[in-house]
Amino acid sequence: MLYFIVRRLLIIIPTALLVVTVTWALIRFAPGNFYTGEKQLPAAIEENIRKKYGLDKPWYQQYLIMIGNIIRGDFGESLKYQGQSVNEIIYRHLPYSATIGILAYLLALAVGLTTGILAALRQNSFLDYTSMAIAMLGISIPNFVLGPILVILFALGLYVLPPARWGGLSNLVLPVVTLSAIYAAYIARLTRAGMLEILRSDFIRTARAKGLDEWTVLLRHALRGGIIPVVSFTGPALAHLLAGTVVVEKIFAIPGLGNIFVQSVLNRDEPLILGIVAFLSILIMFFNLIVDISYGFLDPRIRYE
Amino acid sequence: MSMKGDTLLLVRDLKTYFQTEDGVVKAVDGVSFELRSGETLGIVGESGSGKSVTSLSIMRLIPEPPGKIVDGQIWFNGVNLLELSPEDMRKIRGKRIAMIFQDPMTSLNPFLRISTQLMEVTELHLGHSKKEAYQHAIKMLDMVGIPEAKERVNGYPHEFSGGMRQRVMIAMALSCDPELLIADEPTTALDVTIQAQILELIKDMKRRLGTSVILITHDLGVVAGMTDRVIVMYAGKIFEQAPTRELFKRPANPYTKGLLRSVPDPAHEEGKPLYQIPGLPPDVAHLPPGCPFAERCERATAICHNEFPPFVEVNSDHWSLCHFAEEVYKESSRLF
Repeated sequence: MLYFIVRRLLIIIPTALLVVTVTWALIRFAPGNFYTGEKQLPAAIEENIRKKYGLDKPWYQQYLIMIGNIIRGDFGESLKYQGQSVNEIIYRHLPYSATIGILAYLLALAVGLTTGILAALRQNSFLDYTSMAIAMLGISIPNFVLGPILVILFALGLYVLPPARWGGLSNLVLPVVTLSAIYAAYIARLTRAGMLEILRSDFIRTARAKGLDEWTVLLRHALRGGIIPVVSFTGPALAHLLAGTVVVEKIFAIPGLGNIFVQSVLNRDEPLILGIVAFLSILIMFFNLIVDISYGFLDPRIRYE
Repeated sequence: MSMKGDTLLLVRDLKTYFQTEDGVVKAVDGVSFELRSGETLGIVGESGSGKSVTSLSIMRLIPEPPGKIVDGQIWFNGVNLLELSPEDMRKIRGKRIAMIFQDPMTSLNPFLRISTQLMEVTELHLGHSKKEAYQHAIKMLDMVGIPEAKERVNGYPHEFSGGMRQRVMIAMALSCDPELLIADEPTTALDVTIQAQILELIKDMKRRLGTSVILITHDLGVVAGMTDRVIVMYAGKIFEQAPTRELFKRPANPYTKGLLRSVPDPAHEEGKPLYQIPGLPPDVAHLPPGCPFAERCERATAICHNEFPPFVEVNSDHWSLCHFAEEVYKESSRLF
């Protein structure tokens, strides 16, 4: 088990470097440069810029310098936000995204699991059909539609919640709900499907034959197996949520990581792009590892070699 | 508590139907029988004859929907189980009526320790503390012949072989010393050598605990060796009911005769192909008006196709569902 975790943690490093390499190559293959604008720069200035940022060196040297710095944990300074290190920028904007992300994650879990379990218990009932119809809507309606609709309803129509910006708790409600909707919908459907499959199995019949009440059957005998598909989904989902989602942050004007990420791409801010990409990939791999470890706790048949 | 020989279970006109896209499937249609205390009753029949549904109906474990017990009574020690509230029924399940199932590979929860699965029964029904329940679990495993029960009790089902898992199932079922044990094809999924061991175990436990047993099987050999009385089911109906000896010696129903002829007999059948009943069991969603077996019966006449047969008592405690029950019985009697 320990060996498995250590090995998986070690694999994260080369994988992240590979992701960085591919991203770097993509940036370099795209035509243009961070200093290209509508006006052609004088040759002397361009040469100075190239020299300052090491662009005059052969590409493999530039790559090695970049990778070397990253291995040391130094992503360098942003090209756009002069004098600010990439690490600082990520550190400063992450809390916004993480707050909304974690809240949205918890909300999605609470809503999704309850709905899914109830729908499975009352399969083919009115409750089942309505909740699954709503879940289908939740999956189909993109958040850039849902967000504005919620804003129109609750902020501009009913005047009960602020429409945007960072502030008190009330500012969190709309972005968190918008962000969690699709995840809650997915979790509800996965829970329902997982629970239905487990509830049909022979060992559930055995549990009932023992005289156990429905709640014990459900919570002790069915839930563990039933939520395995949910666990595989929510691990990477949490990584995405923590790291910020561009659309929701844009709609609600939240200075989160997602917003910065998109800006960095538009600015061709190479160090910042690479920094965020590396951070995201490590986060996702880390949560995948947590998911894999938790399988072992859920299902004793799974062994780590 | 009932005395030996008293009626423990009385099933009256049980009807369990399933709603399917193909129409109403009458899985069990008017089944009546009696089980005396201390007795072992065998229920035999082909797949789909309604034997498992009968047992699940007694436990009230029919998945609803699509299934439903539409009519009948199930008297257990003077109480009609079908009238009990779900809570009261739960107090009987696992405590006074226990059940073991066909496939021990899937009947135990793969996610939970054997100890948990055994302990929860006695904690629930006997009010055991964790400690008592744990000790009791070890005692039960020991009793059903699991070696090193003290260590194995902490294992998970996947660490046990099929035969051992069925032993665990039996230990679980007998934990609360039930008055009735329903064994639904307990050996069908096991190797032949293991089958004999498990049957021997059930016999032994029955002797030690005085449990009454309903043994559901499609194996006539098992019925012959284990039971006091036998019910033969076909298409959701009881076709014949008799003391085991009598049934094997003097079957009074053409279907039972067909079943008995289908058993391979190493002494007689040299070179001859093994007999089998022609045709297939009928679709219980669309039964013909007459005898459900008429299509496959060698002696069927016009009346068999048109009129539902009567349930005839050909001898004391020996009943047969056939227009020609008396004749068939006499023919069988003449052979001996």
